[in-house]
Amino acid sequence: MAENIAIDLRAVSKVFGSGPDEVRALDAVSLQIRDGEFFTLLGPSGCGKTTLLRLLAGFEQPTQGEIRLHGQELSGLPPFRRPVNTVFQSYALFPHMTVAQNVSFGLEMQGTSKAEIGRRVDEMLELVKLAGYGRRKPAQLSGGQQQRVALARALANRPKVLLLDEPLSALDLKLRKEMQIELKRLQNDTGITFVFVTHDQEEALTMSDRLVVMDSGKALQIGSPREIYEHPENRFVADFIGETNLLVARVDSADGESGTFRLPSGARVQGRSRDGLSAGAEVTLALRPERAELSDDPDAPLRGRIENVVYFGTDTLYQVSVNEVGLFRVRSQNVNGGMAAAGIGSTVGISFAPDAIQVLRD
Amino acid sequence: MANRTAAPKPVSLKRFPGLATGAAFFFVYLYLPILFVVFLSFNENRIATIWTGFTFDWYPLVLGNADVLRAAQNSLIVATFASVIATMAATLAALAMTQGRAMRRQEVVNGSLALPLLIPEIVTAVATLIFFVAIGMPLGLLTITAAHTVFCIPFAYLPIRARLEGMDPSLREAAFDLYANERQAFFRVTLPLLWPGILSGLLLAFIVSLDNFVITFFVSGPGSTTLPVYIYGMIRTGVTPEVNAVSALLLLVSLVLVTVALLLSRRET
Repeated sequence: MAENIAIDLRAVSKVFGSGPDEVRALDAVSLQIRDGEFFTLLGPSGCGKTTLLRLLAGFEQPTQGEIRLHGQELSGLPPFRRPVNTVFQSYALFPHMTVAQNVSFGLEMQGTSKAEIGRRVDEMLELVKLAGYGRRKPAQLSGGQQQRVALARALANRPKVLLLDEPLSALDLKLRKEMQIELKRLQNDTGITFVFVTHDQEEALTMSDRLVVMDSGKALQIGSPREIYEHPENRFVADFIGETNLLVARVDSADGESGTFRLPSGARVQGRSRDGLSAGAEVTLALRPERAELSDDPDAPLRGRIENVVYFGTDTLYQVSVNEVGLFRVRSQNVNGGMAAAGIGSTVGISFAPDAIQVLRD
Repeated sequence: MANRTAAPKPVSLKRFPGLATGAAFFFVYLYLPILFVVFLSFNENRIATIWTGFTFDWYPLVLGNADVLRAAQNSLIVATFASVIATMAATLAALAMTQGRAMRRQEVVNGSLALPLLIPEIVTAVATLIFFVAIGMPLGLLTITAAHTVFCIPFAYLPIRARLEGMDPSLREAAFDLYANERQAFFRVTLPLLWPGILSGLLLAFIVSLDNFVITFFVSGPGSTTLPVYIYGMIRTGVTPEVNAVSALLLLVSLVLVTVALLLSRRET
């Protein structure tokens, strides 16, 4: 493998409890996180993303499988012997210590010299823009500042990997946006691999170099935000990330690259295909609302009646009721001043480019 | 911090009919006799219940009484040893209950730790006495201290466990994450945060031991009289202002300790 792999998970499972109370929090998850990338674990609560993070930190041990960090097997190592640091959801700042004492804690435990600790603490507080706050107690800081201290405390140890457990979830929207930019900046400046846990798909798309979408303890799809958004592999991913129209269709003909699919209305559409499709098989197609457009073309593959028009500022959402499909959503950019192309009750055609159609894997 | 959602307005208790009267009656019933004892400890008359004038004389008299001093000394020795040992045991128990791997039957253990609070004291007293006699242990300060240690444990345990349960478990994980081993995490993070709970438990145990009468009365031997037992002995020859003065002093000590314990347990994390 040409690229430098920071974290390598091989068929990692984690089971809590036993017998009838058994919970499989992670189910044979295999994935690789590259050195220096911003990698996000995305999924709804209970999908196993936090468990995966805790396995990396060493707070839990895997039931099965291997976790390697730059080639070194981590299983069995306690958290204090792993070159990774965590930013906790609750920040977990030590309330009885000052900001400087919090930041220096890890260095002290590693036996770093006093002079070096002092230098590094100043450098870290500078990095998170909290220079001069060293003597305060965490309780005297705002939520956003506490978050920065938590980051400084973890980064002070120059970890190989920084683990972030939904660190922005306690902040209000404006502060969260600021911290998103701040985190990206810190990651760029330090070059440290970030593993970021979130249930917020927008956050995941905007911040990550790559991400994994998880559900029920499984890694469903791994890829760049663009790959995940444009080419979701299955129904869950298509549905969880952004808005999606799902269409049931039958395969007319297909090779590995593209195919023709027959919609229930009888219309044929072109789309990106995948391996192993045989003619006649039933498949689910996904189509993003912004990749579809309203059209006057009488031969448009879908026709329906506009049920609702919602103005969003940058774009307008049309909900079109299509026979045998249900409500179909079309989003169009408001490039002409936001005048609706068609009103409620009118009948319209819906057309789309062949590469807008994605065949799902279930 | 996180924005708080406004809690629904609680029903105003002030509108509850008769609440003020009821509360007033309750407090009078509870504290009037105690105030009366303190008040009478300043009575000049030898017969405690007949007021003839104000005097401060009983206090120096009591404090100069060798028997009273010896009883007080015994009480302090017993309370110190019993509360310290009980607090250590309670701290270890609380740590095991909250920080170890989740134990099975945790509620049963918690229940049995708190049960001594509910067992009638006279039962414990009789049982303890029979036990000491059975193993042939001479009654004295040692038996009192042993008995006190046992019933002090739940009093010390409750505030310590409450403190531990209120502590964010990720604080300990954060210490591990920052390269602290078990011992360092305990001494640098858990213990400093637990101190107020431990001190509050220690003080509670100390007071409970200092004020105990029933169990002490059963398991004390000649020469090992504690202050409450001594006061009981004094009262058999009639209530004198001396008795009131000793009681008032004991009350003062207890009040100060309870206040300190409360303040400690309230102190924010």
